Amino acid sequence: MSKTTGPTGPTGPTGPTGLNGPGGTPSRGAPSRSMSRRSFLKGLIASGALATLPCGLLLPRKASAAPFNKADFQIFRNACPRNCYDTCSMVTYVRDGVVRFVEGAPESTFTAGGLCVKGYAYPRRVYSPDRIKYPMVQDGRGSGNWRRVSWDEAMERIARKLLEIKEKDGNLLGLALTKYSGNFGITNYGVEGMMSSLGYTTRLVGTPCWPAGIDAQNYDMGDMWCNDPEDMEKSRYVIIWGANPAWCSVHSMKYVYAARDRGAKIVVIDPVLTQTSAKGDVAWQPETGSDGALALGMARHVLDLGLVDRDFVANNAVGFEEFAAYLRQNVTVEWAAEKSGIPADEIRRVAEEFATAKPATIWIGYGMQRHVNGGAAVRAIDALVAMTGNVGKVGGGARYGHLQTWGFNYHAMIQKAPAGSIGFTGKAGPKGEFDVTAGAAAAAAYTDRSLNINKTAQELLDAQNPPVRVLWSSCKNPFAQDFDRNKLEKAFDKLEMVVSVEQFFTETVRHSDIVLPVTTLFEEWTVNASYWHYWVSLNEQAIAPMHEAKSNIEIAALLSRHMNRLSPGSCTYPQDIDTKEWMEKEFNKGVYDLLGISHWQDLRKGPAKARMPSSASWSDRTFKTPSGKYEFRSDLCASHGHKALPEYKEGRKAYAPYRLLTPHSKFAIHSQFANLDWMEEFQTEPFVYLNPALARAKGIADLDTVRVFNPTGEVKLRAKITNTVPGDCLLMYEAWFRKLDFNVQNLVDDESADMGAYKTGAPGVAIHDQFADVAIA
Amino acid sequence: MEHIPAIPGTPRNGAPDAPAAQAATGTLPPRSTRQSCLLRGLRDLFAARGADDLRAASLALDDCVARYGTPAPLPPNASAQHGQHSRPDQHDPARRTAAQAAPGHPRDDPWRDAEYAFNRLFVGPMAVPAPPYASAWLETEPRLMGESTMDVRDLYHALGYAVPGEGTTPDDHLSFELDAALALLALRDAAPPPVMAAREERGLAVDDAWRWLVAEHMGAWVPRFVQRALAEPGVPPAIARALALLLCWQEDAAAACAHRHPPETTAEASAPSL
Repeated sequence: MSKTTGPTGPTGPTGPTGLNGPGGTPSRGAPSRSMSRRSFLKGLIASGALATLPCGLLLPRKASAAPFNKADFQIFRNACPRNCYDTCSMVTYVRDGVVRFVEGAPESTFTAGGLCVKGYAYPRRVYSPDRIKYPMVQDGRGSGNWRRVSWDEAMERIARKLLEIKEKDGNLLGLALTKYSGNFGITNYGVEGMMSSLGYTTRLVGTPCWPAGIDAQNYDMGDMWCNDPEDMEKSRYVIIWGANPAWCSVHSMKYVYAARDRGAKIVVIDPVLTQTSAKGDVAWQPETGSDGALALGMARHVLDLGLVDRDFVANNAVGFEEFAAYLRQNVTVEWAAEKSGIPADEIRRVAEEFATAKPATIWIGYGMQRHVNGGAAVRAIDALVAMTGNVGKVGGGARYGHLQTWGFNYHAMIQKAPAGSIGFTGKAGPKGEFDVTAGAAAAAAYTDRSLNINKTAQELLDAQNPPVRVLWSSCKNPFAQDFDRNKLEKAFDKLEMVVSVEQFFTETVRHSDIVLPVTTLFEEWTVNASYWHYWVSLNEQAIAPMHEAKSNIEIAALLSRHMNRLSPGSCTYPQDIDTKEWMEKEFNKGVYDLLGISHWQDLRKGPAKARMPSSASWSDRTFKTPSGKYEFRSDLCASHGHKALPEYKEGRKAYAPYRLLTPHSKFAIHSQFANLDWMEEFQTEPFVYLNPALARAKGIADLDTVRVFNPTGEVKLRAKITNTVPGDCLLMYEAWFRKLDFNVQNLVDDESADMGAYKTGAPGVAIHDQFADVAIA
Repeated sequence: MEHIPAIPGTPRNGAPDAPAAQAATGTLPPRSTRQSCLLRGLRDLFAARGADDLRAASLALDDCVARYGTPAPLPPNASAQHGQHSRPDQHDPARRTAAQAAPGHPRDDPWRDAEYAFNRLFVGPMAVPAPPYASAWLETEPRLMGESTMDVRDLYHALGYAVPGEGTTPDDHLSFELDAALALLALRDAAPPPVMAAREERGLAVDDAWRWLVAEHMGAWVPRFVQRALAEPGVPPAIARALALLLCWQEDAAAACAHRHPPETTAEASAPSL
């Protein structure tokens, strides 16, 4: 066992951490530390004399770092479980039971041996002194008076409360779960399983992320199913529409570059001049929310030029002629130019190039559908891709996302309610986009009660008979992600108990009664799939859980033990589980066949890629719509209260002078990562970015402290002046800073997007249809 | 090491147990009675899981101070703010943190308030200003389970001990390091006096280990840790007193080391440059 310092990952410069702060000054004489230690240790162990030699000229020889030797490390497979396109396959190097550094897995051609800046910071997360280490109880929510309790004490307290509300209400609908994408490891669906094993409960359902686009693609094609991103390099024309992969999907950029190297043109459409725009050949900055008009204008021009793929629209689609008639009657390129602010000539040029390049593709970002007209806009873009014959083509496609590789057993998730459980008798829809049980519950007498996750605050305030009394939050930070923070605070005031399962002291933990420390990816077994690429990765337990952390399924097992001790039969969840066994139980023949493996152990050699008939989705042009064809006219869509055709839908009316955009930073995924010291090196504080013209009009100088405010609330922060943001826009990146109370949800209300209820149980949310004013603070 | 008096701590591969829960059973010779009394009290205080542990450890420290006196004047920031010898139950309640009393806990329980403050300083769940782990202070960038953690792990191993839940609990938590200091103290007491032992190998190794742990390793982080914690507002007197005692002990012990063993850095410093 080598004690010399091997490569332990990148170490940035030591930042000023205050005179007395931890780590401010490295220990004096640190390099010689291990030498002196060894000498006395040898003496202690072997009673070997430590000779002090009378040297006057010779200096003690300095120990130098040994060259990297792989044999010094235990090597594990991991997968980044965050809500990110890239879902990286990772390799973790452990020595002395400590994660030393992480790398991207070289076996995945997508991850290709490299991680993003956030991923490389993972060791800083596991070993952060800030990590929540023990189960703790807060005496008086928000008081800051925390007591350390044992796991048993914490779980007994929760179990007693659940039994109390069940007794009082005659059911467990007073218990609500809020969970989303904080950890996408498949066994973490055991949290939903825990709820089911207790009985019928209340679920915050839906997704704030991508639901409008999911519904749109389901209306058009019968599923959300994107081409393999790796085949983008075969595109002759790439439009990246409302996505910023240079920041948010760095591994995809190599395919964009490869396509360009092969002669493709790269067009980037985003209201903000992003890093991706900067790398494109054409960067359009349209009016925010005008995407539908822009797509329809392009479609009209393609129609006028006669560049429609007649074979596709005649044989593989329904309703094209009605769509064409709509375009002729209602859409002109000039109208689209007026709506979008993109000159008509440019629209014509790009439309023509797109229609004549074969294959051509559009990457539909999630940002562009976070609007009151987002679903309609995605349908318009789908139509543009379909009418030019690019659906079902290698290197083509309307790329949005897919769930093709998610066919696990959901063993942890699928649990039975205890006998005699009483539940909700209303209509049940899907509980989010990953709900494999959707539809299966139809025969049951009772169901869970669904509340719209995108209106969490209002739904918690409004829920009656029974009200929500206990909220369980896991894989989610409601105070960072749920909309209208001020309203959420009122909603939390109504709750009798809040339990949060966390790794760091977020605003949600501050508003909790009990916090339970949860494992990181290195501390549990699970398996991870992507909603973008087609690789599946094993996640091995690389180290013992630090402190007293437990995985979500271990927490569920412990709760079950206490429920059953206090009230036998009150919880069906197994009381003793092993995360490795439960990971194994997620696999089935379908997954093995898809991945071309015979056993999950094969994934220890590296991630495996799904063996699809083609890198193109819909390659056989058999669609999952009611007609089995691509539906330019969707009667299903009409029956859900939308237009049958991908018609233009007006955006949200402004309610304050400037549009407010709160997209993702390069150094965070939602409220994760920005709190790590390595990220703070790059992103020390939040800023509001505004255009020089707007700054001039408001008398704001660079780095002035300003107030950004609207009817929902207010945020105070410093301003940065930049031409990359349009003149009518205020932009701030969504993030959670451990030392600041910055929260974009002070300004974002819970206005719904047009679509999402069909496939995810609740409509999306118009995150980018927000408005605000700004003034010097 | 069968001839060595019982060392408080957890035998390696033994039943895991928290140091606070261990009663130190060994009878130590008088030479280090005062030190071991202090070390036990400090170890148990910094390993406290709650108000009862804090109270018990504070009372034990009271006894040490009453029996053997304060090792050295307490630093001004500790004594000026909180009074040198006040017991927590004698405090002015208005000085306590503005904590709301929780249902089920008497409002005037100063030990409960001390527990809240202790958790705010050292435990969490919020980010703590003074993490009680060596590697949070000694690594180039603050983290747990760093190289300095491995240093003390090796020391414990050499003594035949390990932290309970090795790999899960950072080895360099202050309470474990104090436990190891207590162990080394016992080993030193078991050895012949230093003058006689000068040529005896074991004595030399134990003294080296003691000097490394107390002067070199803890000396590099404990003073900063204490200063940082005492700089926080509303540190309850029981905790401020313990921090001050910790600093006094560490400084005294390090000074005694320097007296007994001229620092080895002199060899380096006095070497003429080539």
